[in-house]
This record gives sequence, structure tokens and C-alpha cells, in this order.
Amino acid sequence: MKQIYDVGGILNKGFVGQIAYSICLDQPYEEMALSFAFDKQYYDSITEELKKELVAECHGKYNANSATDEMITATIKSMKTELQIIVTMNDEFIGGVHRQDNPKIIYFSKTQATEGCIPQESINGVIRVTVVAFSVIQDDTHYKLSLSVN
Amino acid sequence: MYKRLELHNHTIESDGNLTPSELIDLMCDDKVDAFALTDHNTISGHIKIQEALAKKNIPLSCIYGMEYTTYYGHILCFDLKEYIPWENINLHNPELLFKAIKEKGALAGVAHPFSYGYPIGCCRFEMTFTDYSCLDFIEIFNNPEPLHEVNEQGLLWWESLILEGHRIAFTSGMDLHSKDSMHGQFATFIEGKENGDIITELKQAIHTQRTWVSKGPLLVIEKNDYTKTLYISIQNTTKPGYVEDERPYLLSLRTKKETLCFSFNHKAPLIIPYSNLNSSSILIPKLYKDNLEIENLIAVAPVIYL
Repeated sequence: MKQIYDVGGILNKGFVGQIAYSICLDQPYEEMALSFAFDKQYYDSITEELKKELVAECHGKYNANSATDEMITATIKSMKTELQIIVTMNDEFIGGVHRQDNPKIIYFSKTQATEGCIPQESINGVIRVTVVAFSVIQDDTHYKLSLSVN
Repeated sequence: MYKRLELHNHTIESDGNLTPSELIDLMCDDKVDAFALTDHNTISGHIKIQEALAKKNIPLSCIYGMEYTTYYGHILCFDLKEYIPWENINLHNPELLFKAIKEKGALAGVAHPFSYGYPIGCCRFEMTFTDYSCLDFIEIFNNPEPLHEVNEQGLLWWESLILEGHRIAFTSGMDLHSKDSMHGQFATFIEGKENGDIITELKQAIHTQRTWVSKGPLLVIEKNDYTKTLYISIQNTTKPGYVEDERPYLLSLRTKKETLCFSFNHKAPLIIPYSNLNSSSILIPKLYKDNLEIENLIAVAPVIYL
């Protein structure tokens, strides 16, 4: 496999949306692998400020105003930055990886593909990789994406 | 005949723990007639289920679908033949995606509308419709979700839309991610024929709002406009885990103005003259035991229009 694309970026807290990368392949290939990783997936420490912020952001939903300190702490522990990957080839869907793995390795060939993806007879044309940000819980969240082919 | 459907299931193709083959086995063991494959944001499992079903040669049908997992809530689709991009979803105009899905011939509905949303997660349906005609169904019971905070709210939302005059079907789902027991949980039922095409039957049921949700028995209501009566009976199903007992059932009919309640026995049908329904034109029938608390809800039946 040779790496033909390597990119990264920084996301701010609260970002919701997608960032798409289009890669034009110079020739047909038999295999393709994508690697995607990001940091700050969970909170490292749970501060009083964070607890107050969560309760305020809930605006009375989820019984937040009557939640115990233990419940708030447990909720914050379960919160995560959620970034997913969707892959198309020549505008056709070829994979969506919803599993929370970090890093994610996504593989395509004629006979095999990572769960969520569809094997491809040939890897050719334009690959579009969309980083889908469902939630980003911390500022300066760094991500890295690379694409390799064979 | 009535067919039991399990309409919300995941596999290892998204975040479930079951392989497509294991999901089929689980459905078979629980005597399900048809199940939907609704992995998050992928259709990669469709071919794998097709191949596994062909190999096993069993009388079980699959409804190929997907659970669109968006920034602002989850959308269940049935009979989705191709992936329709959702990433440009508009918080203030969900109709765009719903219409795109429906234009391809699929059914589209809201999953677990009151699950946790911002800032805790992305599962609550945060979008607001201005045109409900593009919404085929609402998943009123997502079995693993909390009864009061999520499912009761979902049921009440659907009821309020019905009483406002919208024609929207209802479903339930296990939201299966692993090998969980389905006993004592709500399932969806539709009318069908023994060798009938499940996709045709499901579409007919959803488009005419003829679905049932039940833990076992079905509440069957026949209108007789000639005698001006409702004929109400209980139809037993083969859903495992439900045990009939001698306690009487309570039939609740929610209308715009009130909730009417009638006690009856599963062995003897109930006949209600229209004159006892206080001139109500929309009635939402539900079946309970003991009292009308949500914990005692057994079944929801298609809405009656008089």
C-alpha cells in the first residue's frame, strides 16, 4: 500500500457538520485503506464548571435541574466527541463506518471490506471521504486522515 | 393473518454485536415473520442478509432499510434500495430528506423521538416539521428506551398529531444491538397473507395506518356503519413471552375531548354503539390491564375514524 493523501485539521467545541475531502486517483487500484484518528474523544477531568455548563445547556430537559451530582458526573463521563466517516466513489456510496473505534481503519478490495463498507471490483475515479461531526465536546480537537492504495 | 415484524435492528455492519447470520437466527428463534435491517448510515449488510437467508432457506423475510443517524435525530427507513445522502440535512427543514427518501419508494419515520439529544447525544429528534405528510410513521415504542422519559412522550406526541388530524402510522422496535430477549417487549404487527410480499404488505399497512403494536395480543376493532357499532375482540398471536390470564382487559379510547374506558374479557367480544362515543370522530384505541398507567399498556391498535 502506498499512502497518497495525508491531511489533518482542528475542530472547535460545538462544531456540527461535515468536512469532505475529494481525492482523484491517477489509475485504478485493487485495494484502498483509510486511516482516521482524533484526540480529546472524552473529557479527561470533570470540573465543577463543566457540571454547571451541562446543566445550563440542558435548559431543563432530561430532569437536569434535579439531577444529583453523581448523575451529572456519570453523564459527562459518557459524553464524547463523535466523528464518523462516509466514503463515496464517483458519487456512489461505498461505505459508512458508525462504530466508535478511534483510530478507524477502513479497508476496501474486490472481495473484502470493513464492516459498514461494500467491496469494490476496482478502486478508481474520485474518492470522497466525508468526516461527519455529530458532536465535538472540546476545543482544539485534532484529527488526522490518510488514504493508501495498492 | 397477522404478521409480526421487528423493525429496528443493527448488526456488526454498524454498531451492533450480531453478525447478519446471527440476527437471522435470533429472529427465527423468536418466531418473527419479518425483520428490518436498519444499520446506522450504511446499507452494506443488505447483500449479506440476502445471501444468508438464501443459504438458510427459512420462512423469514427481511425488510431492507437503514437508520439515518443525523446530527438532529434518527430516521428509520424501510425498503431503501440505495443510499441517499443525508449530510446536508437542514435542522429547520427535515422534509427535504424525508421527501428524497420517499421519492425513491422507501418509507421514512422518526425513531425514538424523545431519546437524549443535545448536549448529551444526537438521538433526540430535534427537527420540526411544517409538513407532516412526508412523515410515514413514528416509532412510538423503542423498547430499550426509558418508559416515561422517552416512550410515553413518543406515544403522546403521535397521539397529539393524530388528534390534530394528521394521518401517521406507528411502529415499535427492539433497537437490537445484541442478542437481547424480546419477551415482554412491544412488537409491530400488520395484516398480511401467508405467502404475501412483506414489502407490499408493510407499505399498505403504513400508508393506511393499519399497524398494531403489542406485547402479544392484538386489539381488533371492526366498524359496522349499518348497525352503528364497534365490535371489539382480542386476537392472540404467537409472540413468545406473553401469558394470558383471567384479569379483564381495559379498552381505552382517547378522543379530542376525553378518554373513554371499557372493561371486557378476552373470551367475550365487546360491542360499543356509536352513541356511547360522545360524537367523537377520531378514537385512539389502546389495551391495558388493571389501569391506564403506561406500565400496564399491552397494545395499541389502528386509529378509528367515524
